[in-house]
Amino acid sequence: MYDTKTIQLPEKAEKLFSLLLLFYPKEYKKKFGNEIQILLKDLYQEELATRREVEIWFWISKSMDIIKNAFIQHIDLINQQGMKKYLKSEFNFNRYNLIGTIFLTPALTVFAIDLISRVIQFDLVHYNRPVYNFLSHTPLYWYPVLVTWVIVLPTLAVIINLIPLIKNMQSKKKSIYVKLFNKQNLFSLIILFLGLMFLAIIKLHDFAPCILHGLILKGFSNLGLIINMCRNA
Amino acid sequence: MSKHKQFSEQNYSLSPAIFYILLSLANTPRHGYDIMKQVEADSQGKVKLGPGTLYGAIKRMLEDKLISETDSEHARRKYYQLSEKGRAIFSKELQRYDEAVQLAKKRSLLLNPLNKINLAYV
Repeated sequence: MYDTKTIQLPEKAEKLFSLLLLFYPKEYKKKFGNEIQILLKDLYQEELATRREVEIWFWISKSMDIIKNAFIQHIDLINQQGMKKYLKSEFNFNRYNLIGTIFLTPALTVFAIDLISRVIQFDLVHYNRPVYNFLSHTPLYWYPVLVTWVIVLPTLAVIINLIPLIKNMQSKKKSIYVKLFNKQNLFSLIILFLGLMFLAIIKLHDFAPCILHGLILKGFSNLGLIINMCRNA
Repeated sequence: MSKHKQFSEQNYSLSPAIFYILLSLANTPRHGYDIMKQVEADSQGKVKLGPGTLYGAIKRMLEDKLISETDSEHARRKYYQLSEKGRAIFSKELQRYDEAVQLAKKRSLLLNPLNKINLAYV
């Protein structure tokens, strides 16, 4: 039997290992999380003893192994439980998230088509004229329908998904950061972000692609110049 | 129960990782780090288990009742041991390997160690 002692890891290492364990499904983490942490400490001690220092490759290889196997465990869980039960148990995908997803689908679809068509023409600044001409002749661009999927539905998606977030804020966890940014709120936060992004795009639908185009061509160091240029464009 | 292969004494096939883990537990219960190092030693470095891979395999073996947890003097460390089913399946696998080696010897398929040395100088 090998002689092992647990030692105190550097604070950053402890945080990294705790972060890595978050990738695992809840039940798996509950059952094996503690043991995996102990094993990581043993491996760290061994690395320190044999090489006198712990190189970056140690962290990379252990992280990749854990992330890869966490992915396998999630796939296994989906096969066992089915997607619906898995999303509910792991990410608290609730009816508010489902409604929000449905409400955002038209905007998401048109946004994706617009973005892909701009990429295909190698010009992010200007919309793709043939694609725009096609879409503008569909019912999606009739004024009442347009207002519905561009403004009304994203607004509703945002409001509806505030409900589970507010409910989770009442949890006993101390930090507001922890209450808000955790796996249970994942889908609510994604829908909130997408909804707000679409609402912002109403105002910035040419500004945002112009910024993106400028960043790709000129880099982040010219951000101020790019913003001015796009504002005046 | 997961949909992956269910082990029975009639229908089994052990991956190298599972084989070596069962081998490491054949004579004595071990905890995770112990299993990892023993597997590396027994396989002469050919099978190296990362922490994620090891516990993924342990989870599968626990579900299939090839191994079980056992009491340990350390509060935080869990020790694992072969179950009766695990021991039976492992024995069958060893028997299978033995039969294959005997057959290979009979057909002179195994390289003589001396031949291996000669090949090095060809």
